[in-house]
Amino acid sequence: MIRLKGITKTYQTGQVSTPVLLGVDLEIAGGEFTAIMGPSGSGKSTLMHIMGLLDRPSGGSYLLDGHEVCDLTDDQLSVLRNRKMGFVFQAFHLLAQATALKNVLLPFVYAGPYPTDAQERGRRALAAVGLEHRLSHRPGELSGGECQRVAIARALVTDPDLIFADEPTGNLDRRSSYEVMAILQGLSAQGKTVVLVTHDSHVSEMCSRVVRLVYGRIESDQRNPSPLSAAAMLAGLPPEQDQP
Amino acid sequence: MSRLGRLWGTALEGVMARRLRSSLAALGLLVGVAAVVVMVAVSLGTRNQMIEQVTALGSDLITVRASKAAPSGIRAATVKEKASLTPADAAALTRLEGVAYAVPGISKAMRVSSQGATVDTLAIASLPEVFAVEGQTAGEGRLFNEREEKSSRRVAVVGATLRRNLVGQASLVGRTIEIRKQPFLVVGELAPKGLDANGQDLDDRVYLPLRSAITRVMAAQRHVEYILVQAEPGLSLNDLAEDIRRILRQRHRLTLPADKDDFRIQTQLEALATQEEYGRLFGALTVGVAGISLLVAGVGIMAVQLIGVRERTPEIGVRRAVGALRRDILAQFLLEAMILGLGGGAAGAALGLGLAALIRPLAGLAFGLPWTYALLSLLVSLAVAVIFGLWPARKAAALTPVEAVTRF
Ligand SMILES: Nc1ncnc2c1ncn2[C@@H]1O[C@H](COP(=O)(O)OP(=O)(O)OP(=O)(O)O)[C@@H](O)[C@H]1O
Ligand SMILES: [Mg+2]
Repeated sequence: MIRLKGITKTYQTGQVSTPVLLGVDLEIAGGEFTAIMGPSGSGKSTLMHIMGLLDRPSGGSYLLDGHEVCDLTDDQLSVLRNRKMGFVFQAFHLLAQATALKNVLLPFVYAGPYPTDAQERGRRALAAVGLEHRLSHRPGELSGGECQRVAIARALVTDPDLIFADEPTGNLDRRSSYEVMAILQGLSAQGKTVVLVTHDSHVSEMCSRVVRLVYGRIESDQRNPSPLSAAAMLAGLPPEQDQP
Repeated sequence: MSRLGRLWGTALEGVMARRLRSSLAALGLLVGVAAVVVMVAVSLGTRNQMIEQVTALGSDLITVRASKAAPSGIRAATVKEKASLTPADAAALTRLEGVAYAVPGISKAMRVSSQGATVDTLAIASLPEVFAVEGQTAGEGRLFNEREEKSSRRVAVVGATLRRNLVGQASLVGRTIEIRKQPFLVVGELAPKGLDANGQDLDDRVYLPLRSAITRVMAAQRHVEYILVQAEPGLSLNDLAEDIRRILRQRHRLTLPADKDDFRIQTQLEALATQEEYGRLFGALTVGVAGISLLVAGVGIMAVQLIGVRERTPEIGVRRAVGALRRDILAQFLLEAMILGLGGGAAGAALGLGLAALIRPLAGLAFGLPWTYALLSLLVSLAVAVIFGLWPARKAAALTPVEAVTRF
């Protein structure tokens, strides 16, 4: 699905150039649930932005489904993001003034033809993250965990092949983190390719593959044959944590 | 739903989500457009009335006014300021060919009382022909006549406003009014005329026969202030003005070419031209006010939109992430600016038209509401919004997805 070869990225700020990615080779197959770990500043977010077509590499080649994407125009990249990808950010990035449902429907604003069943699909996406009872709540009226679940619903409403999540549990407590991970594991089980950046080794243990990035290079790349089940972890939490 | 329709919806939500700020951004346009619409309405109204008045008074009217002569030679000591015209001058002008009437007149602010009420008004002392020249008719009673003038009868014709100020709705005809302790019998009341172009109430007046006014209330002065000369139709006013000048110079013994006229001759057309000049000045002022307020309003919209782009950079980022094209972002912010422009412009036009409709009866002006100007300023508002909204919108569209999504 994703094939990166010799990807480099150097930021140029005035006279100062900051090399961030120093040649990354990485293949991610469809259906894999990959965690990218590494110290702060190692280039995890940069790599994810490049894979998510939000940024362009300085060098190297990126084949997405066998097609080189480095040569595509800005508009073509936008269309690919709209059709194929979903994003979850650490800070949720929800529209504060819009309801949960409206937030989830955002990708359809920029879809080619507006799907006739958009509302229904939005509701289903919210139900898939357990928020069918929060359709008309605004982000300010939701907890952090609920906000992140709305963001996940927005990422999956277009039924994309790829989901990118940059520290999706970074702002959440343990229970909410498990809830988010359980949803992402579920998506992975449905065959979606999920790439997740995390600092939390507990979270990475729930992924099927862990890539460690250090100073812009891949230091290790390990398969995890038996990931922890987030749903099981959730069930195993002591009940007093039910009451926040 | 088309993509453009969805973007309109997005822009509308963006404006509504920041109601207070949006209103403030549109306020500049509102005030500017309202001010311009009112100014245009009033200036059109004044201009209409001016033209109406000149046409009513007759464009074939020449006014001769006494003026300070610049004295020269041995007569310098004998020429008194503003004391050059006499009733005899008027009589001489009447004999001039092409002159229908030449009516001498004095107008003076005077205190008039009746049955204990006292008011200040404008007294006009003249001959009965003045009514014909000024197009005045009796609304009640009658006008005074030549016999009454010649025999210095103490009669008066009042305007409606003066009568109202003195006795309210009651009639003054057949009653006496007092001017400088002299009783005058009111023989008639004029048909109302309203305000003139300068906002003067043409009905706040009393007309007195010249002779009795001079002898009884104007300290026996020998001079008049002005002579109204009504030309016969189809005459060259310039030629007539020349004839008048010649006769008056003769009569005033201004024989040397160096002697300056001790009177001024003004035709209605000149008066109209002067008014038109003021009108043009007012028009330029309106355009200036409009320009400045639109500039200020435009800068306001730009500032609000720039702040919006900066503040909403993460929003732009997430929109780009889920597939918004650069031009979608451009359209969103431009449409937001257009909504502000249309909103401010429409509210301003409505307010301006409302104020104009309110002012109309107060100012006694008869003018049509300037609908076309209101519509025009709405379009201009839209244009201003687009022009000043373009830069912020381009800034928003220029952000790369990663720049936008990572900035807080
Ligand atoms: N726009 C930019 N201009 C210059 N340098 C940048 C820019 N964006 C990122 N960097 C630098 O690139 C390096 C990698 O950044 P990146 O955000 O990818 O790190 P990260 O691994 O995600 O770190 P963290 O775990 O803290 O999120 C950092 O040193 C950062 O300062
Ligand atoms: Mg990061």
